Amino acid sequence: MSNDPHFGFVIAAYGLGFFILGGMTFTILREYLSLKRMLSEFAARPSAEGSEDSKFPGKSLPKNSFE
Amino acid sequence: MRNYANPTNFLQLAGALIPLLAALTGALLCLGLSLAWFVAPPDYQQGETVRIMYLHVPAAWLSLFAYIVMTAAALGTLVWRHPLADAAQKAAAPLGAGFTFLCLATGSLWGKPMWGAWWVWDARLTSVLVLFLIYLGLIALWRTIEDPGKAARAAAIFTLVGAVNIPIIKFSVDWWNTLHQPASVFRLGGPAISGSMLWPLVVMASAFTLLFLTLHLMAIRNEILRRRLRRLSILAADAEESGITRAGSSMEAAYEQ
Repeated sequence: MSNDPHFGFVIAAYGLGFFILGGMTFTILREYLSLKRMLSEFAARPSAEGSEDSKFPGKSLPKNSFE
Repeated sequence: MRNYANPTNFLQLAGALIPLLAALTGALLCLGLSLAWFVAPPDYQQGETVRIMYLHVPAAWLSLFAYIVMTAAALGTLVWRHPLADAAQKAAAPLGAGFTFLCLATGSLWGKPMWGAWWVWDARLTSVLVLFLIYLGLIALWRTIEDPGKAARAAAIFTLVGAVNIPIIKFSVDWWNTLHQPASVFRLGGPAISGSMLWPLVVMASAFTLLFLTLHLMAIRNEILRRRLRRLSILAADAEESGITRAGSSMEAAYEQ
């Protein structure tokens, strides 16, 4: 297999494939962990005791809303 | 479907599905790679270079599939105003760009030893490059427009306009004389390639499809969490500002006295 004169192109293509697909997976996972950490920091704020509703009275977060 | 417009329900579903899909993707990818490298024979003309096909062709299919998902999501945003559609569309764009870039780069690495050129302005290659630029344009659009609602509508319209490129990519090899070969799997007379090469290709394409679905679900989950965080930040800023305003008003009142 490695005697093929163009074997380097095959290796380069698969290396690039692992880099791109692995990079996308890593980026999404890292972002998820970062968002989870930031959300838990919000919940752990000293002024933010209790639920989100009690943190911001009159501005409750709808359960079926993305924002 | 409406039930999963509720982010809490969607997050529960995603939490259950993602590990399952990830495990299936890993297993299928291992199987596909072993078939592509150790079972599939070298081509009688191209030799070992043909192994790039098992990466290039699934990447090309997924670059189109991601755009079809985005087009459906754009319709969901504009017509049905499904709250998840916008998140699904936004989450698919970087994935589509990644698969399209992989398709272009592996095509180039395959083209150099076979055609003697890294790139030719052939109809298939050019239309795929246009698809890549559309993906980049959409990503830029979401980052440029600050209002998420306006950004979602603009991106949905842009996506629907760009969908005209999908049939152009598919039929470019039939409509124009291209250096790129015509369709050899999805064609009227059935696949034109040998079963010993077709099966590894099908397994790799299935693995790539599962990978896309896994990453897409994960990216939608991230988008929901990002919006939650944004909302919480705005509420916190509002709460702080109202405190400052009260303090500011008191100060102004005190100054006037």
